[in-house]
Amino acid sequence: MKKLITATILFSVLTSCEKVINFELENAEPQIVIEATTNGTTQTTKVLLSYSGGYYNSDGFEKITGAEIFLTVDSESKQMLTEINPGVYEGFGQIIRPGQSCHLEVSTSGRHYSAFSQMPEIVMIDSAYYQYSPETLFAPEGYRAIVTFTDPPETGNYYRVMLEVDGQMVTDGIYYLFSDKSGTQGIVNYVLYRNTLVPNSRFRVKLFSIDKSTYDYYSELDKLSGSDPGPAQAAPANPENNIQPEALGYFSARAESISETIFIQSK
Amino acid sequence: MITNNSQKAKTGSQKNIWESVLPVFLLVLFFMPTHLSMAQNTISGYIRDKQTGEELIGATVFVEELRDGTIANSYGFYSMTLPSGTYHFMFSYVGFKQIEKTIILEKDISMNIELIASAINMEEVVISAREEKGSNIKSAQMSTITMDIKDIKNIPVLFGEADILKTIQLLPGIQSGGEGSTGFYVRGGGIDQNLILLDEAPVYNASHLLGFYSVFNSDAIKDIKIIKGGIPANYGGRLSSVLDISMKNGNMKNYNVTGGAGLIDSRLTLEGPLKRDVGSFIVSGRKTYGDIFLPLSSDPMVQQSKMSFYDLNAKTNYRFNQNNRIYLSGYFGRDDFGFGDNFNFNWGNATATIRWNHIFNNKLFSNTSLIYSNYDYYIAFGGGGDKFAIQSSLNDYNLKSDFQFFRNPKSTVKFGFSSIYHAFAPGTVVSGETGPLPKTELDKKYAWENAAYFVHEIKRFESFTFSTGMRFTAFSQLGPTDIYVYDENGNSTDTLTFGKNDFIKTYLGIEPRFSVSYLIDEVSSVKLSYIRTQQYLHLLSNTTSAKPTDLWIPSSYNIKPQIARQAALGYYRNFWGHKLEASAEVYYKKMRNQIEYKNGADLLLNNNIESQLTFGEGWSYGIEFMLKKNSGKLTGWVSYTWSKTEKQFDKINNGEVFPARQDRRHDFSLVAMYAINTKWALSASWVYYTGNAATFPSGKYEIEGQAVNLYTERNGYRMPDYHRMDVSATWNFKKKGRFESNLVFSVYNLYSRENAYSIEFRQNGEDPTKSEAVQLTLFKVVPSITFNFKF
Repeated sequence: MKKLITATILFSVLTSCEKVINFELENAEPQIVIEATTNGTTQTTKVLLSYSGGYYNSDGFEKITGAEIFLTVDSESKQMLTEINPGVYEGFGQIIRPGQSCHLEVSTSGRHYSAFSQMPEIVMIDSAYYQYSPETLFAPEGYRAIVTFTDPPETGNYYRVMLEVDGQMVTDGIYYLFSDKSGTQGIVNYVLYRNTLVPNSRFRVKLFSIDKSTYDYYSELDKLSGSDPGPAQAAPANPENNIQPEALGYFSARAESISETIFIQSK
Repeated sequence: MITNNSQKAKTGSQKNIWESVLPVFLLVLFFMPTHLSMAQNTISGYIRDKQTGEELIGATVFVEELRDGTIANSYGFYSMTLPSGTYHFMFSYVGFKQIEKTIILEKDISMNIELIASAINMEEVVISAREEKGSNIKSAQMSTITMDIKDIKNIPVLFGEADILKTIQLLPGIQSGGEGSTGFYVRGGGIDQNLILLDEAPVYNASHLLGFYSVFNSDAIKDIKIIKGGIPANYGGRLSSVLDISMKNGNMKNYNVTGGAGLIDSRLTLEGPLKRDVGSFIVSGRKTYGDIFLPLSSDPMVQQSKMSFYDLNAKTNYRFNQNNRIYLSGYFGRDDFGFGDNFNFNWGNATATIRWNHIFNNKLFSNTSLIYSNYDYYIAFGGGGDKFAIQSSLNDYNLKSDFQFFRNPKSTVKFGFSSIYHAFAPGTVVSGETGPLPKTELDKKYAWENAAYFVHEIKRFESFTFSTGMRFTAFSQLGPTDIYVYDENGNSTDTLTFGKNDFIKTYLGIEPRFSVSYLIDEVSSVKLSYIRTQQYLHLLSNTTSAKPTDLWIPSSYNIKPQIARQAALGYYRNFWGHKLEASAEVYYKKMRNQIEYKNGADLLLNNNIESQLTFGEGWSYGIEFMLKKNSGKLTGWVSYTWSKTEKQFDKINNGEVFPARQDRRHDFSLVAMYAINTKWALSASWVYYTGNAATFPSGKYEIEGQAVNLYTERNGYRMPDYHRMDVSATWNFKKKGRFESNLVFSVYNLYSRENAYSIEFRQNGEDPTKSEAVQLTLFKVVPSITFNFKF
């Protein structure tokens, strides 16, 4: 939708111009960023810890090492995560069933953060396929991946779709989101309209069932994603999340379903 | 042209009871008999343009013996009741020759007056303009500016197309919504707080081409009036302003063709009598062809695009007799925007009005209107089985009656009622077999809006003129619909089901309106006004640009009406025999139940859209200066506004006060028009304003390996200052018989200032570790040429 607004200011395209300017910004104090997921299907928990930086800073972000991180499921089984790389913490083998509450605790530099997320019910992919599309406002001409799944009758289901091409995840920072809150039910054909696929490549689609707070977080993030915020967004703000006390990032309990790998034949 | 006015701050903290009692008290006070046992007679009739038969709205009737007079109403009707006697009447209107008549008033007289336009040579204009001599000073109405369409056509604008909505942005207290935009803010109020009426029909989306053009074709418009404060009780439904646009009735005497061709569009208007002096019609159309230039663009995205709009105004009227007249008017306009074969987006307004003017007797004038107004949009993605389309619409059905009772030269009473049925269809998804979504229909919404009002205009105590009034409103959300009840976090906790025409929630409003002017001397006055306004429809938009998908929603179970109180105080002084008008107004406005989105609100196709909103309050205050020259070879105005607009929402900015987006400290405009001779006329305008408030990042962080901007406070930054000069020159060709024509050369942004339309904070495309601030400038210098003709 944002791209659309950009593109619709069409008159201007004839005379308009974009240029990089020097605009002085304040530098906010560095804030902690917690990016945490626990996958009920693969039994993997992954947490990335870092600090925010100045807007014009291009030296990368400072990682937070030596933090203590615990994942507790339904206040019973508690697991400590291991730092496998600076700022990257992982844990394996914890069994989490749908409906169970996951509690993440992070302690670093004398501060403690806590977040809850509920493991959603898994929704399986029915099929995935591809289809030719001419150029659109969102992507050049080529093939688009489409995933089909059946949304359960009860409402309150939230999804994120991700795409892997030739073994590489290509949708980091691209948020294909879907929810049934507009009253939709039944079979959903979801077009991954922002990615173009080329012949002789292999792809597979991952369908993540996520909870509402993660869905809300992702949709806010999508609206202000650095790549394309659109020219006239009213008042951006940091996405709301489930972390207490205030911190950046999110914690998401999720379940995944993966499609078969599909080879795109040349015409 | 003209009549400026203004304001000042008074606190808006009176209790509601006092608010309601005051005007009633005043009304009673002023209804006490002001006369007089002598025999009274009434003179009444219409004041018209002799050449075209068009009624002259606001023409003046002045009685020398009384040193007083009246003005013609919005249908050109006037009425004066006087003791028997002999009087010298003067009938006048800007740009027309004054007519003087000595009338022996011994019985009731019906007299229609035809005035002759005097604009044939410039010298004459110098003499005749502004014969009504300072009605801007005398009237109790403040904060109001009326403009004749001729003046609007002289002011240079983008693409050379005269535009009402852009011209009013050059007036004090009225801010543009952005570069080239037809959206506007009045005294710190939101874009949706302006009541825009075209022949009494509300227009919900007044822009074409995403805001660069207004929907009003200036060839079909007679005049406009904008009211920023002291809004009389006969207007209601919006908080901040009224823009009342009157269409021409059509020439009663001769057939006329008017037209023009510019770079982007062409216009054609046909008007003439159905029956001479009894009925007439006007049909006016406009169509763009700007997209023929798109293939010239180097951007392939643009080459494949199409975009156009057209609009059609039609109106006819017929006078059955002196006391009954029927008007039919309509507007139909549509924008069409596409990209290749797989994207289509079109939207438009349609309005229709039937009006019946009835004169009960020479003192009581009435108008009854049936009004239909529609706005809809349609977006379609893809084709064939993959097709996916969204439809949305809004329909209004309105019955209203207005009465005007001319008691005597010192007292006029207006009263009336209005009843509107609103039907909203926020969105229906239609999808092909393999389309991404099954058919989805958002809940339709229905509402019934009623109002009754009275206004009493009275002159008392030698130098005072009062206008007191009251508007009573009732707004009900009606079934059938499901109502979702939300907790504090916007989660639905309960669903209530209502059947057809069930009353779900009713809001009542009492809206006192009061203004008074005190005439210090013949050339200066002071005015004060206080109003309370209530608004039941709200426009939801999450961007700064006007989008056709912006959604109007009614007050409902979850959404309370917006309420504003405004006080204004002004000083007015005319110089040089009323040729130069100066005014200064201060105002204070407090707005309650203001609506903002929660952060990251999801607007499109969301049945729970009401859960995405958060409520708070806003206030605005400022001072406005204007100096205006109405006659002579050089005409124009200078205006300056200092203002401050803030908001406070518990759920935004941690509950701290923040500047509203339209908060703009300084705003300056200069407009000058110079008639060199009958052949050449020049005009220029220059605007300068300080930047609006904006939210920009104060850092960044990383999620999924992508940089995300970090925000600290709402609207904590300012856009850069904006300034721009536009010029135009009109070359009038020699008149050949009835054929008149001219060429208008204009240049928008003469010195090619690169004004920031937006500043985007994003990663460099080649090196994503680098973050940049990218300024978008929409229009550098834009020259254009337009040919106009009339025969």
